[in-house]
Amino acid sequence: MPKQEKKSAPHTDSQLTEGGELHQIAGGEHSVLTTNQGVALSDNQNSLRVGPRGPALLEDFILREKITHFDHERIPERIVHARATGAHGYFELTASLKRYTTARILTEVGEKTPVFTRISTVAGGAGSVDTPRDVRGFAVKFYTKE
Amino acid sequence: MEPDRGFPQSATAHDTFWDYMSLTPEAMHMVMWIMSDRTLPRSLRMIEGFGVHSFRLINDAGESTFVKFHWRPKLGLQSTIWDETVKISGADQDFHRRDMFEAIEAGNFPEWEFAVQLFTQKQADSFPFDHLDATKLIPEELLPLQVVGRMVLDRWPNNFFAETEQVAFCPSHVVPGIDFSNDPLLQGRLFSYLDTQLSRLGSPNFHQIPVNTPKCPFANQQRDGHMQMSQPTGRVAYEPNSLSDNSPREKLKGFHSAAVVETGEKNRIRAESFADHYSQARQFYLSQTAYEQAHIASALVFELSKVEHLHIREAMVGHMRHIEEDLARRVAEGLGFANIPDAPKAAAPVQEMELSPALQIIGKMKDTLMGRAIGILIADGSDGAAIKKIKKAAIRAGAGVKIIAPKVGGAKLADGSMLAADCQLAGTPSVLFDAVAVILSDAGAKALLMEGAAIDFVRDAFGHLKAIAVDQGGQTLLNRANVGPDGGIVDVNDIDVFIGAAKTRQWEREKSVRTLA
Repeated sequence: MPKQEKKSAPHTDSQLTEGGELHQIAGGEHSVLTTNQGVALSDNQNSLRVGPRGPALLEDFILREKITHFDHERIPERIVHARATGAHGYFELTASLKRYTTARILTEVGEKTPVFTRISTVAGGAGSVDTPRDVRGFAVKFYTKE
Repeated sequence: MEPDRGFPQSATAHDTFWDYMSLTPEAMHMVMWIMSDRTLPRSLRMIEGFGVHSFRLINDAGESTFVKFHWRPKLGLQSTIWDETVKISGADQDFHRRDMFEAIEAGNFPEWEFAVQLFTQKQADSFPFDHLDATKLIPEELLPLQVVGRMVLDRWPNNFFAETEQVAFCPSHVVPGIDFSNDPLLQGRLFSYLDTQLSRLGSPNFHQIPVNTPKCPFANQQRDGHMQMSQPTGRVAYEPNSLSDNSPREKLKGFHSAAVVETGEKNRIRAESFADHYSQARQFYLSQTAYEQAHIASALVFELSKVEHLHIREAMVGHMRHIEEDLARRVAEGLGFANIPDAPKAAAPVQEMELSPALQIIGKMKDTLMGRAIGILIADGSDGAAIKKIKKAAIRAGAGVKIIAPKVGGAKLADGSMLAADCQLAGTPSVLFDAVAVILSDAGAKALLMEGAAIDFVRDAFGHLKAIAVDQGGQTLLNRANVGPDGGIVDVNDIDVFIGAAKTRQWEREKSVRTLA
């Protein structure tokens, strides 16, 4: 589907430096870019180094924080059901099962319970396709009142 | 443990999977499901869900009733053709995810009915199978479903990782009034799902991740652990205690297990009632339409043809003899066997079960275009009025419509106006649609005759049994692709006929486009 063309950032917020890289400056709706500890960054494009063509310095805590976070962004994917689609929604009871159960979710007709539903394949990894010949997992989490 | 994984050094994934299946006749009912079109859903909005195991409901008097939980899609069931499925994987690996996203974005919220099958211990004892065996189902003809609710999905996650990846599901997360059965697979899963969250999410505090946090009040004396987000105060971290005025305590009407008497000798043993490996596989196969039976047989031929070890192919066909002799014959013939291999010894005699038409997919398709997609292929010179007419009718019938042109910028119509395209032809094969229309001028058709993507567009639509609406230019393209004629190829002016044909697949056409086992 054609998407609306992205509005390009006004040039007044940006500057090019000697190395030719783009620096976008905070202002207006754009908040200040910081480390995870709240330190404002003056330069998000260059690591701390000895001279413009020299080696990088270990003391560059800003670079190390970024690299460390990136290196640890993945968690073990599910051994099964790794590939999935999820969505929020609600469950609504239309007929009571009070004769059979005390569970309020099955006795309070008309009550809407928030759910999160995740439908998955079984065997493929998180980056596999949606359409292998495979069983589908159909998991629903009910955010019940009890 | 994972015979389906890991080419090349965990061995070739395919042979290991089928080796394991062939030595596990318990899996034959599952094999029937996997080889059926159930595993090739058209959309996640068109699949059924069910809790697999029996659970229990417990009422105020403490009496318990067995229950099976079911989800039934409002859009009915629909699957794709195997060749189509394979091509979808190449065209759009996010096919199902995109379909769900676009539906929610458009306000066509995916919806399922929630239904239960309720039964007593006495009824369970009368079933010709053991309901505690997860390889068995309770046919709805034997025990009808009661619809008691519905689920609507109306909001996309804000962040995939934070929600869809970190969400933790556990069958042990139940509320008072729901309890478990002795299904051994369920008993194992009650342990496994909590255990897996600990290693996957890294901490027993995974319930503090927002998507996993209960919306109801919760309080206990559990403390500390990796990534603890809450700050419990006070000296009391135990219960019972006398040093706190406000620490959490038990509730008399809190969670109770069903008061069931269990006795027996401690042993590693499986019940004799689990020994019936074939009866429900046979019931599933025989309950299908002839088209679906042909798909199951053909899927077995396709999959087993990729198995390198002859003895595994033979063993699988042997199992089929217990399911249905004709199925074994068809698969053996498809594999080029001179003789049908011997059947293995069955652990228990195969029973003749009542047919269950509710197990069909074709029988559960709905007469609607809701949730379906129509693609209209156009080019420079196409008839704008015809495009508009068919688009309007398809949308009125509930379908989503996309315009496909050689250039995404659009095409210059016969009247000189420009019509923007939604997609470029080269990247938009007809496998992405449920039915297609091809509206071309003579010159437009001539230009497309040398475009492989255009030829494939109509050839695949035909091969995947879809309705095709054409004008004169569109017909020129069909002629080049050597497609048709048949009842599913409709003149673009016969709008109602096209819409009717688009709601189904042209099943009778299939024998003219491929060899089915």
